[in-house]
Amino acid sequence: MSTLFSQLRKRWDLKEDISNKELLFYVKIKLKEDPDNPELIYVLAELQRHLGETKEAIKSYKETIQLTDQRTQQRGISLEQQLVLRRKKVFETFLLYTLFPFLVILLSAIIYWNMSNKPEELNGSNKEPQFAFTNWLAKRQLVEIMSTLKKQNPEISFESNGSVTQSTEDFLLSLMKPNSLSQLKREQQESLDKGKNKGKEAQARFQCAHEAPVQCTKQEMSLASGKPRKGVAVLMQSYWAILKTEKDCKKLESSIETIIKQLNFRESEKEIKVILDSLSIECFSQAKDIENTLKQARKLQCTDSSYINTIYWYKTISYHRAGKIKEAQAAYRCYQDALKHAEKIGDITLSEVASRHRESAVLAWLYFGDLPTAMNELITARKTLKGRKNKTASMLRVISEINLDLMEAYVTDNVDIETFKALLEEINSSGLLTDPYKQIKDTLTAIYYLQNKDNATAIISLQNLRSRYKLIPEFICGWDWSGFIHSLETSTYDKEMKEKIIKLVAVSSCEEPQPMEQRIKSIDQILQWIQAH
Amino acid sequence: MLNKIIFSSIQKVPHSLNAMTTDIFENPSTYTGIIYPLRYLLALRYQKLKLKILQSFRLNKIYPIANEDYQSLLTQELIGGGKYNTQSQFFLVKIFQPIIIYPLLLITLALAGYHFYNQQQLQQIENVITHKLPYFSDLLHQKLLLKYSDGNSEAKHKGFDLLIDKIQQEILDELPERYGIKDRIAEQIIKLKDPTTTSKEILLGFKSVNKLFDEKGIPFYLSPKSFSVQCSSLIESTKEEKIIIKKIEKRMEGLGKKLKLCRTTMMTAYKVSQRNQLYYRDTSSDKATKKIELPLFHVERIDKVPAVDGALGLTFKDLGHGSIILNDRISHFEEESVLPALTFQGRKYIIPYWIQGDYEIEEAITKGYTKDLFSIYTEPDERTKIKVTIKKIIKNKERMLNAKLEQTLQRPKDNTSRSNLFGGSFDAISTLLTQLDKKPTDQKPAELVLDNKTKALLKKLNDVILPSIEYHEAYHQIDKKHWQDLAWIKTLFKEELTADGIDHTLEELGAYLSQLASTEKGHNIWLSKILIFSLNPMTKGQAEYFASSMILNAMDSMDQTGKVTPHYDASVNKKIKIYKKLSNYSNKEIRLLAQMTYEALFERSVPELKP
Repeated sequence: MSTLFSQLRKRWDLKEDISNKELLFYVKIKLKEDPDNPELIYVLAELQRHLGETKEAIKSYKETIQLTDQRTQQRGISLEQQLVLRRKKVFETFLLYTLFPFLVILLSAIIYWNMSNKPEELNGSNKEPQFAFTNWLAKRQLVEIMSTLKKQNPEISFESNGSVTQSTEDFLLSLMKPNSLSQLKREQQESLDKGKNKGKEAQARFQCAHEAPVQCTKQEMSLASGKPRKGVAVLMQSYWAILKTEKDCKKLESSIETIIKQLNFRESEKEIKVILDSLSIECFSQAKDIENTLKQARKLQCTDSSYINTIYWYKTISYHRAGKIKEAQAAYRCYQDALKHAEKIGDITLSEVASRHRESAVLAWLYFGDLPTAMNELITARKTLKGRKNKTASMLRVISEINLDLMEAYVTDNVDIETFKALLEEINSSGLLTDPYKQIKDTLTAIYYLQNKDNATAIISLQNLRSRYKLIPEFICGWDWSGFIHSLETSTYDKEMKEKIIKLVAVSSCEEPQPMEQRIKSIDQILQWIQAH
Repeated sequence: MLNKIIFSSIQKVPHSLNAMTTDIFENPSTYTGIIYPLRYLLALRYQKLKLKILQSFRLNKIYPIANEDYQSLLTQELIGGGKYNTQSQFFLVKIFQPIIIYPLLLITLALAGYHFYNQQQLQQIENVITHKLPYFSDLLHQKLLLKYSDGNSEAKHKGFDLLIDKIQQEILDELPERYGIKDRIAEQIIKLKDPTTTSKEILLGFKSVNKLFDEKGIPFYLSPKSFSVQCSSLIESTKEEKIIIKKIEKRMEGLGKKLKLCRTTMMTAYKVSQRNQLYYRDTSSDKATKKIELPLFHVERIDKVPAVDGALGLTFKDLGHGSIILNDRISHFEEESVLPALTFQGRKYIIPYWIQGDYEIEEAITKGYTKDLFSIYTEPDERTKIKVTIKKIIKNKERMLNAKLEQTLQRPKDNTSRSNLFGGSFDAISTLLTQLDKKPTDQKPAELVLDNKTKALLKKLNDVILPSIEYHEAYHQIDKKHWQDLAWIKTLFKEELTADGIDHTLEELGAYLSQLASTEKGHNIWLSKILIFSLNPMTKGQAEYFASSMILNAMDSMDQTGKVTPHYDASVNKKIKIYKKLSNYSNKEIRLLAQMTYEALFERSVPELKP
């Protein structure tokens, strides 16, 4: 150990004879300059041990070990850092000389590929290129369509034909609307008639293009002139009540004929005569006497055209009952045309227009199973009244009935949920439905949600229906479910679903003689069935 | 894998390892014999391992590190505890040797380059036929219009000629020389430019191009839509001027002078997605005949010409190469004209415009379609799903009305004699009317995106329809020149049809009957199509009308009496009645009836076309 001390004396240029104590003092001074030097601390520890300062020596030894560990750690870290730097350099070289050029080549290839695949712009920069050829061809084809249509319908004049202008295209577009040709035919016929008869009467009289003109005798058409007689009106009011109760249509008819003959109605009293005639037609129609219904319809048509929709209503039903579908279709088209005519000349109120459209929907749906037309008619009817600012009570009532009809059509067609919900919301918020009609509404709602497998909502509707039957044990008899049942035959629902829907319809149908308990029981069974699924 | 290569490199010079300073294995160039990019990865990997080992020494408070200790730990890291397979080491090192990898890389690059080159050439061809060729033909048409509307303006003519030449040059510059494609198309361009070239010559010219494409596997098909019209129709004139022109023309015709005809052509292009074929062998003659291939190209339109093909398939007989099956038109037909029959709201779109007795026809065809569709979609779930999809489709009213017009103007196929402007099966009017819809784009209904399940459902219908169309078109390809003349033809048509018209009528008559006799499903769809052709006012007096009316009458007569007297006179009601009766028959019964009718009319058996 003394060798270590003498070596230190030499290293630090100290005299050979200085004592260990003085050396210790010198080491302490040196440590002040470099306090973390493990070598100095080790020398300090050795000197302390030699000088008998054991406690201090142990402390210094420990400090030496600790500092040495730190140094080892630092060296290790430094070694690793150098390696990390070298690795970074290798990686950068790799990026620069290998990966980067590769990526540049790849990117250039992609850009080049995309550029070469980019569609070239044609003649002009717009998205829909214009071709003189197709414009020319389209115009020629347009003329050819017109010529063909003209050849097929020689009775119609195609005024735009031959002119290759925008209006010709618009004209073709107008011809693409439903029944456009027959409408055009009719319009042209009407304008021809107008030209021939300038009188007001001639303008108002409606002649349907789908049926042969009705042959009327002079007596049927012309009534005596003169002012309306007061007595006749009073007499007819009392006679009316008696006639209404007559169930035998033949008797009713002969009574009316006798009155007409005796009273010799004047032109100014035509309204009364028409009311009498309409009594007969209604009676024969209810008795399903097709022949006489049609006979009465013809008579009524000769007397006055203001009841024309009623006439075509009975005609459509009668022909349909007789199995003459083509004639029934023609009568129905006449119904539609007559309504348009009435709207055009403006001798019909808005409520009446809406009601006529609703009736048209009923005919389309019940007799021809034509759901799209029925829906269109109902929507038209609704639009007619909804647009009005000041709605009367009768208008509101008509709207509520139309809405319910429309709801049946929506359920039949299983329209999308948004459309259905919007209508349901309108019906619920209107507050116009009477309780029996609410039962119909709840039945239809339950069916709709059943169809769409929304069982939770279907259950709510069924529970509503159940409580309605419990609270108000009555139901409406004027609702005809036959069209709906008929549509189910061609629907794609499975057998079980169809059965449940039919059962539900039976619950709300007046024609099904069931006690109220049975109806509630049926609802419960359907509820159980839904819950089981 | 990298570890094993590093280990094998260290094994060669184990003394070069040095934990305390940079050693040779940190340098990529050490790994000679390994491909260039991999050397870097090896060096980086080695450095990563070295760093890990240095960290472990530091944590164990060992410094400095003896090389032997370092090597031992490194070996452990590189090959783990397991035994090291020198065979696999050898194999791995061998595989990544430049001598193997670089040639492989070169071969791959060469193949990729070749593929790229091919794609590039296909791209160039596609660009030319999709954009430039239709543009070129439109310029030729514009020049024709100019000639007849502004004949004296020499400057304008010159300008046009320059533009036409420029586009011609661009087309030729872009087309590849390979397989003689450029030369073949250049010939046709010259023919297109020449006003004396007839429509027939144009068709024959492009037939040779299509044949070349087919032989070389180039997936394109070109179809020139050529029209020979009275040159006066090219004059831009007012209504009054048109009347005067018509009067002059009538007078000239009266004097026996032939009116000048002008040929104008529009090029349309298709991409071939699939090439099928049917084979035909004429078994009627005693001589053994060769099996003939009848090519069928399934195509999609790629040009941007605003006009649609008015057919589901096109065959040009001798003037064309094979037949094209128009996939996009077929899908539209299915979605817009057949499937809507499943919904109440959609059925008004399934029949053409201006048809007499539309309500009853709509009803009858709905029933016919529904019968076929229910046999295709047997599961209630499928029907519900398809109905939901169709309801979404028919919400787009413009699309459906346009489809109805397209159906109104549809022709079963092209005929070489273009007796009218729809004869070319090219319908420009439907597209023009669509363009009249001035609604802003954001107000128009978005294109319906179908999910895979729905697509699969629609494909089921497609799979039923396609074989019939393929058979129909392949039938048109059969060379019938040697078929015996039929006695009834001479007396039946009198002066109502030209020779070409009669030929066309017989083609359709035979194609529909033999198609009904030879295919398995979808008979009501085709019977409906036949009924529509027989009632559509747009086809009245045309070959399609005669053929379809004859089919209905003949099948009815065969059904009732077992005999056929060819005639085409039948009222609308009679036709509907026959249709209703036939649509109630089973497919098997219809097949037999169609076969017997064909045999009675053509006095030969139904051609057998096999895949």
